[in-house]
Amino acid sequence: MRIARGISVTNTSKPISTAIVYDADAAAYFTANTAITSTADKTAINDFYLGLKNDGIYTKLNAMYLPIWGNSSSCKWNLVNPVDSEAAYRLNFTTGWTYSNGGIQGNGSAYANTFLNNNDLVINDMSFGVYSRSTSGGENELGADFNTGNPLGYTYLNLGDTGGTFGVRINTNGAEFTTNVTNAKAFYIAQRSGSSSQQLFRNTTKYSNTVTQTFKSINTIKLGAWIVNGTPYASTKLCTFYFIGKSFSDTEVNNFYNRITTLMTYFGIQN
Amino acid sequence: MEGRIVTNQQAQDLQGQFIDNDTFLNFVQDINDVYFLFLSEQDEADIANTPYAYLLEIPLSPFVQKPLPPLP
Repeated sequence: MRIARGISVTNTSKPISTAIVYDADAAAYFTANTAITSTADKTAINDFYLGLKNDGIYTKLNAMYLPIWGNSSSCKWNLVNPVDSEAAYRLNFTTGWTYSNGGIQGNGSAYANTFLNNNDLVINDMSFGVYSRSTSGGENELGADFNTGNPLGYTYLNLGDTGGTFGVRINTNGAEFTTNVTNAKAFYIAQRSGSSSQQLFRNTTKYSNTVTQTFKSINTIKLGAWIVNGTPYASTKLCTFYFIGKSFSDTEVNNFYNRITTLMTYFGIQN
Repeated sequence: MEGRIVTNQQAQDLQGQFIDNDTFLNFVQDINDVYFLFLSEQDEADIANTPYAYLLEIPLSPFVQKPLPPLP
């Protein structure tokens, strides 16, 4: 290009980089879980991470799992700390699970060990939950093992029996908190937010009770079952997301529901 | 629900053994304290080329779960 007599300009500009910059924690998960290859999938999951951080939810999570990748090696990762170790709460699975892009489904005996010890959580500030895509009922979805002789505090979440109820205890041997719901197909959060305050959320509908805490359950939390004296009382539900963390405000629960719904919708596996 | 019956010794010897990097054998006692092994179709395919393939030869038997005991 000639701009004036005796002067010319050479275009020396470099091509603009189009590399996508992901959230650092999302990027770590993508590095660990090599089943995720699609840029669109990564973008959706990255948005999930960013959304949880924006909503103040992420920092309350000890672990979350997205088991939608079709095999144990890809479903095992803790999205909060995707390191292949027990200390990072990476899952180990028993036999008996079926893995698909629609989630994982136990056979009524299977469970996954998070290696996250309930005893390491705060007795009156904890939560856990699951995104269930099944309507079958009367099964435990998460729980900290109980053995005779342990301190008398039970921690588990039971979803939907034939009457359409769900029940929970968190660090208590008080009465089980049960309530009637339509079915087990929803995003569930169970939490204890105080010494006499438990809540259950089915999607964004809140149920509360005042069962008092007694003792912390002292064993590791399992996904897919509650183990009592070595026997797993386990689920047959198809599930796509699990988490364990601290308790949430009502606003945080609503946001968490919206974020997980967006993610499930992207993957075509929403309820 | 059906599973594969194993002896007490087999359950003791194999409990916790991994069939791949992330999946381990787990044995569950039924209402009569008989040990059962449960494998999904995917597990059966995965185990076929491992030293534990002989477990696939055990026929399936009906499993009756222990009822949840009274909790203190």
